[in-house]
Amino acid sequence: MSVDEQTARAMLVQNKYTEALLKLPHVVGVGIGFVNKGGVQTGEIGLVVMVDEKISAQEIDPVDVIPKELDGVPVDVKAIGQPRAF
Amino acid sequence: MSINEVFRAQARFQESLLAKPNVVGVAVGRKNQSGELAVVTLVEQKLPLAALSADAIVPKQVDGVVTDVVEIGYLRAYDSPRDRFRPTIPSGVSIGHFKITAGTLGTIVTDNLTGDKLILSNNHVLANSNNAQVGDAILQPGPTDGGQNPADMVARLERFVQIRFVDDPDTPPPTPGPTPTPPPGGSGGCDIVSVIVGLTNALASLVGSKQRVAPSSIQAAQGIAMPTPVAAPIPSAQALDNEVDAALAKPVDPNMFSGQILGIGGVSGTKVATLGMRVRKSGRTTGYTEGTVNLLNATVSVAYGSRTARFAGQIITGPISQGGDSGSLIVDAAENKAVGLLFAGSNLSTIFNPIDRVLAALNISI
Repeated sequence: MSVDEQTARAMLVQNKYTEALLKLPHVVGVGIGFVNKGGVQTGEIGLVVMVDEKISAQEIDPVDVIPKELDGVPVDVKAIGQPRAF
Repeated sequence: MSINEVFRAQARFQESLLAKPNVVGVAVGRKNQSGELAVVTLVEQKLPLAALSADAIVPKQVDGVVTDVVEIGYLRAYDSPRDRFRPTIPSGVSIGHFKITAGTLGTIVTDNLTGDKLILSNNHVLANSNNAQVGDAILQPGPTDGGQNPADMVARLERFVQIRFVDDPDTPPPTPGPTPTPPPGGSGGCDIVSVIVGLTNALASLVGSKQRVAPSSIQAAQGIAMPTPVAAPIPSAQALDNEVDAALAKPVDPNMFSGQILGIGGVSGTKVATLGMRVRKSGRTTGYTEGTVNLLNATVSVAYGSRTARFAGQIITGPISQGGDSGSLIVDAAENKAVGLLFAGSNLSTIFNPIDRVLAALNISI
């Protein structure tokens, strides 16, 4: 898949799940970007869920854990702190 | 010849050299042609010997040490973007509504309707996060950098896109908003306001924008008193999404503004952000910085003091800014094309509005 095709596919999934993802604890945003696995960029484009801080899956209610994949699109979690107007 | 001998010669002759007209400094270096150690006299401007009076001429040697003359221009402390700039104000410097702290003057843009040159920055920099009146004083530098009202008023608030805050009773109605009804016996001016609002919103829908110019900001821009639109039923979360935090100010004297961004220069045209794109900005707090676009089409919740506003379609880079850089123009690092308008961030990110949405929402060109 080309970058444009991957981006388009990720945006469809983004539109579908953004509202639900933004309701999860610590989630501050949802965007499209390159996905990291084990700190390495895979070159694949997916959904990036922005959180104020990363919490280990064990400390979160299972229903609030961000899935690793949505409708076949990889999902990455990125800690960015709390965004505020500069 | 040892360098210490040269230092001694410099020390002996420094005062007499500095007393000469045009001389701005004395140092030790290597003479340009021969490469030998020399006492170097720094001058504002190199002049031919014939143009100099006898006492203005730098001797060829001092205490047997050769001299050289190097032109370095007028010396001054480096400008900080937080300074008061006069008579010419570049972009990328401190500016702000008289009731805020300070933000950044993004760039100078052209009004598509009038052709006027206007200042582009954020709503929260020029319009105090919706709490402002058209015509309010805009100071350079911003109040926290010493800007005084009215002594440092360089522009007046022209128009802005309302920010819709979450859970804010003052939030204007979501679109499609009701067209304000002209008051009884309304003048032709009010019809013009309706037309402008309609046109702007039609344009916004053409480009697929969810952003609308709130009628209240246009009517205020026209200086016409109109009834405040009635609040609509509780909007859904999506209807509250903002696309831009943007406002315009009209210079008191357009000739005061150079349109050149500090460290970047003139910008014309736009470019759509892509993943991995290198971008840069010049802002009031962190000056010139560069970064890489790593997220597109982002929906993010942004804190404005105690209030929160949600933005959609945003672009995110790593941390290349801090508080006070708001309003900086994000410029492509390869060409001088505008990419976005910086408005928010965190310790790990910088967030900006896509420039095409900003231009469409305010009906301006860059």
